[in-house]
Amino acid sequence: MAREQLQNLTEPMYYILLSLLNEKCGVDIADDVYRISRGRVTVGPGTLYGLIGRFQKEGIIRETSVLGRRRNYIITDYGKSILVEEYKRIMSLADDGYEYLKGEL
Amino acid sequence: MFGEKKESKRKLITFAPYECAAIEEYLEEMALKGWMLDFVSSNSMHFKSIEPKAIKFSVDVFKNMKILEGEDSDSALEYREYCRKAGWNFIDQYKKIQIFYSDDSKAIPIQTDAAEKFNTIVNASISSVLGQFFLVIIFFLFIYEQLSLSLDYIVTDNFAIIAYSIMAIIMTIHFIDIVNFIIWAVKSKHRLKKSRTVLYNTYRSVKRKNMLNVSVTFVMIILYVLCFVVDRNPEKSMSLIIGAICLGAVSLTGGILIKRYIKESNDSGRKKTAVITIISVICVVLCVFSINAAAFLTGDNFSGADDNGQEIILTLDDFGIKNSDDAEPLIIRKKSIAASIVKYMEGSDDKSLWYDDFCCDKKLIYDYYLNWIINNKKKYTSLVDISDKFSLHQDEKVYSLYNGNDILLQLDGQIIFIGNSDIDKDKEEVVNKVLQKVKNKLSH
Repeated sequence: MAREQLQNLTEPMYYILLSLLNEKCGVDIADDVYRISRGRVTVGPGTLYGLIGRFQKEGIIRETSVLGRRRNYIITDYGKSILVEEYKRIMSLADDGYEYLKGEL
Repeated sequence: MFGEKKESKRKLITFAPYECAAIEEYLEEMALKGWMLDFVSSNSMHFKSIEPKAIKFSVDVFKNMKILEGEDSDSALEYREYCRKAGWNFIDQYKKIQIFYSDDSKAIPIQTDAAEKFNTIVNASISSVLGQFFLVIIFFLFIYEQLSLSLDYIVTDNFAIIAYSIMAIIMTIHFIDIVNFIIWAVKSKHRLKKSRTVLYNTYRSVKRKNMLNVSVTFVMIILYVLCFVVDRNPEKSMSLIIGAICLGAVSLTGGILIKRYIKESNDSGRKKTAVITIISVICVVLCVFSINAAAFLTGDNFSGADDNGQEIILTLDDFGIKNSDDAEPLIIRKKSIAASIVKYMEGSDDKSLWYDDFCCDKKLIYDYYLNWIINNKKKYTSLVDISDKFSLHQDEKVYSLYNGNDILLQLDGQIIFIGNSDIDKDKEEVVNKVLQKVKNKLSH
């Protein structure tokens, strides 16, 4: 069920995975998402905490180290494959849109 | 001194996880009035005085909270750290509910995913809703069973009337809560599917619910106190008070012990479960003991001393039978605001008489009792209407039961069931004697 839900990533999920291409502490991810999306996407701390737990459970990310209450994470190969798949899907959407809308753009 | 603002105050308020938005609204209103939330307890919120200002609150549900790990588990602290980084300062928690505030009115909400927030709230609510459902079922079965088995005891005892009314009210309140939650969950799920905003209860509706709960509790306490005044049975009142105090003390001590143990102990989860189970079992046993002790002390033991003003309508002496062993008849008298009853037993093995004489001038209760006793008797035997053998008023009836000498008399405001007595008299003579005595009583 959870795997099925993750087949199409939501915007926050997509940006969290992009952020975790580099090892990062959980609490810093929200800032990174904001930066990568140029302020377009914000993730609340509750939502972020919930998603990190879910990604970890699904094997999409893994914990790399724990320093006190700070836990670091990084995306797994499986997570990367999901992210790339999602990127291709979005690009395909964009290409299709461009094909039909280029006259209007 | 008059006009000086207090430093702190306490407000009674209870809420469910799906009412978190209402509590945020309430806390923001209080901050504007100069009251900042200090801490929360099971049924109240404690505020401290501040300069009135706009503060943003977030009442969130932390689904990973495990009761056995205590309030400050590693996962809870980690979660609060995420919130702190986003500009939310932790105030206090109650069960899975975490309360934060932020001075920054533009702080990012703790939950930015509506579906995730909805699922978290539903998951956090399930256990308490199931608990409420279990309570409603237990209360319903208990009330139903007691009304089926001991209606005569309930309607003739003020304390029993109040106790069962309280149970019925509590059951209804919890049932309404469950229905409200289900309606909200179904509606919200539907709205989410249509990509619409989930609507959470406003503070107005939570306030209404709390006012209703407080009013009902207040009325129940008043009624309970009134019972002590109306009943005028000091021994019974004292035993009930002692029973209630024991029950309260045991529950409170048990609750405090468990809470303190969870907070302070570093034991493993399995050991914690074992210790909590043992404390809970001891508390339950002590509670049951308190209830039984109070029930024993308030039972029929005091009934002999409780003169309900009802006359004894029939004795063995009325049939010219002398009690062979000179034993005093056993008379149990009970009287409530609704009805009164005399349970009479006299005689020994060879000659005996026993009957229940129920008096009630409230038509609804009278009819309910009549139906109850007729249906109860019909379970074991058949009733034959023998009213035409006697001169009775229009609404009066006499039934003969085919399992011995039992007779049921339905008179004006009075229902008399004469049990399987052994007095060598035929039914007609017994009924005529009763009718004559009742008529004499009325003429007096």
